[in-house]
Amino acid sequence: MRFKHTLLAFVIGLPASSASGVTLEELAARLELLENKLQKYESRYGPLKTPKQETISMPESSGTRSSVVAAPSEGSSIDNAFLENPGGNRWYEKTTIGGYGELHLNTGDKDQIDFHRWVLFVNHRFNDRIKLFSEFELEHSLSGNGKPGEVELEQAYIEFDLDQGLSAKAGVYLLPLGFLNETHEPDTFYGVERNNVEKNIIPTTWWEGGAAVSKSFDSGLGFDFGVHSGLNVPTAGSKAFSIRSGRQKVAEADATNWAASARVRYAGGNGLSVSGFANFQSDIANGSAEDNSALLLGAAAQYNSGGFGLRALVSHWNIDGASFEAADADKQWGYFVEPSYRWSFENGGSVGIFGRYSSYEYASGTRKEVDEYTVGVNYWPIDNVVLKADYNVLKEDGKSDNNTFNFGVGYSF
Amino acid sequence: MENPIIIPSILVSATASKLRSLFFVTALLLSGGSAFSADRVYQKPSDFIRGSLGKIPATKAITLNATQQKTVRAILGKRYKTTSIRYWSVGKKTALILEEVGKAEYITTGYVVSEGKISTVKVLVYRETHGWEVARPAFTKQLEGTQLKGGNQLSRPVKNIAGATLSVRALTKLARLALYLDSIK
Repeated sequence: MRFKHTLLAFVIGLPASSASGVTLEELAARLELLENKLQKYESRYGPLKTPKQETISMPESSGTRSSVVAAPSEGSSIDNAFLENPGGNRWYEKTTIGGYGELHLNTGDKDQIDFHRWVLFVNHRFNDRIKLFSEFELEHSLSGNGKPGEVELEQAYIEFDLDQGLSAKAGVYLLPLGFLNETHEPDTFYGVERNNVEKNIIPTTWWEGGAAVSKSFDSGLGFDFGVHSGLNVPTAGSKAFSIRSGRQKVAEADATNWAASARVRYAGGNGLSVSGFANFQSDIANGSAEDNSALLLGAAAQYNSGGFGLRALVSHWNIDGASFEAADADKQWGYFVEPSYRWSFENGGSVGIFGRYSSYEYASGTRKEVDEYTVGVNYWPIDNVVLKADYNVLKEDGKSDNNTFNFGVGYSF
Repeated sequence: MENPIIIPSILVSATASKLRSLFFVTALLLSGGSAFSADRVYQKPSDFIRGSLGKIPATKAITLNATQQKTVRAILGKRYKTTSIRYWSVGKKTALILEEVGKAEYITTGYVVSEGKISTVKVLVYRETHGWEVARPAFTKQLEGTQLKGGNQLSRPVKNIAGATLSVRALTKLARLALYLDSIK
């Protein structure tokens, strides 16, 4: 200890009897305190020269730099590093944006180019348990009085994560029905336009205001149940009895009646995912004096094996009330089957081809019975960007065939 | 025609005002808080390393140079969250714990690479509501045994899960990253 004192005095250039009033003993005590703190720090976070936050700047050399950064058996420090939310806790780290968009060119019986959807997601993590999700959309590029498009708030809900696999949400949310209603980024499905079965029958994209709970199990089973605002289907005019036209979009919507959605789904992990879904409307048409309670039942299945993929969906509305029966609109239904094959390339790109047969019957002024045949190709230069082309033949009873070539470009991030 | 489905009478009798009350009560209950952690912690990272390698060896880190960062960007489509990535090695086995965003949250996943092949994949922490199916062994098992072929692609394709596309992509990219990092460590 005496040697240490002498050395210390020599190094810091102080005389043995310090003029500042700090004795060598006091300095030694402070040094020991520092040493202890350093030891504790190093035992917890590793050697001092290695910061816990890995912000090492880009090295200039071309070789790999690999180094030991912590002693063995430091399980707790490893857990601390990975169990904390890696997203960070500064406000700008808790807020994330995303989005998607798609430009469509339709040629043939109609020639039209349209930036169909431009979407911005803004999400915020208040804490690890309470999060905001929102989706803001501009449809058809131009909105306003007499313009073709709309500005829409498709999602804005608070999610509460309660326990492993159990969560609840309240706000405006997408109903858990079919394939596309919740997941519709253009790089996740085949075909330039979204399929007409989900569009006209379910009707996708469909959002309501309310509350919902979801529970999932490690076995692959998942359940969703929500209570929310409902449809208000017109019973007169050119869109009479059209379920799609009943979407109120939570815009000063009539809340006289209520509705509920439920889904059960199972992902086998062997490439097979199946779901059954239902929606109940206490009164699907507020405008009519009669009771028009309605029930949608549906099922969706997807199978992937290697490059091969198969999607199939069926959905069926059963609507009460003499007015719907008289208009032959009390049963509206449809299904489609879509086989596909996708090849992946070494540069990270991939190409997929698909065919789709759809059959559906729905009301929109009058009853429409439609068969559709679609073949096409998707090219993904990277996973998040897709170029699409397809040929579509739409055969509606009582009308001449509608043949369309469609081209599209889409992205998501 | 009567609807053939029997709806519970409590729901049928619900009025709009009752519905509104239900929303508020639900929201209050939820915001009241739960003692449980929101994240699904399937396995502690330290337990994953100990279980895979038999012990926790010294923590090592690969510091990526400019060329390697470019390759990592090609694999992930963006930069990895850090330029220095930790790993643990015993004999021919190397364990890596990697993180990538699924849709909005990071997925923390453990990979063990042995002689250029993935021998173990385990989702350790899952933070999103959707896409949790990727944590199931039935899914992660298909990544085991894969190796890198040209273009840093996996030697065989991975089956997608409907509704979990983004999480499947994240885990697949991390598998490629794990194999690449093992090859340059």
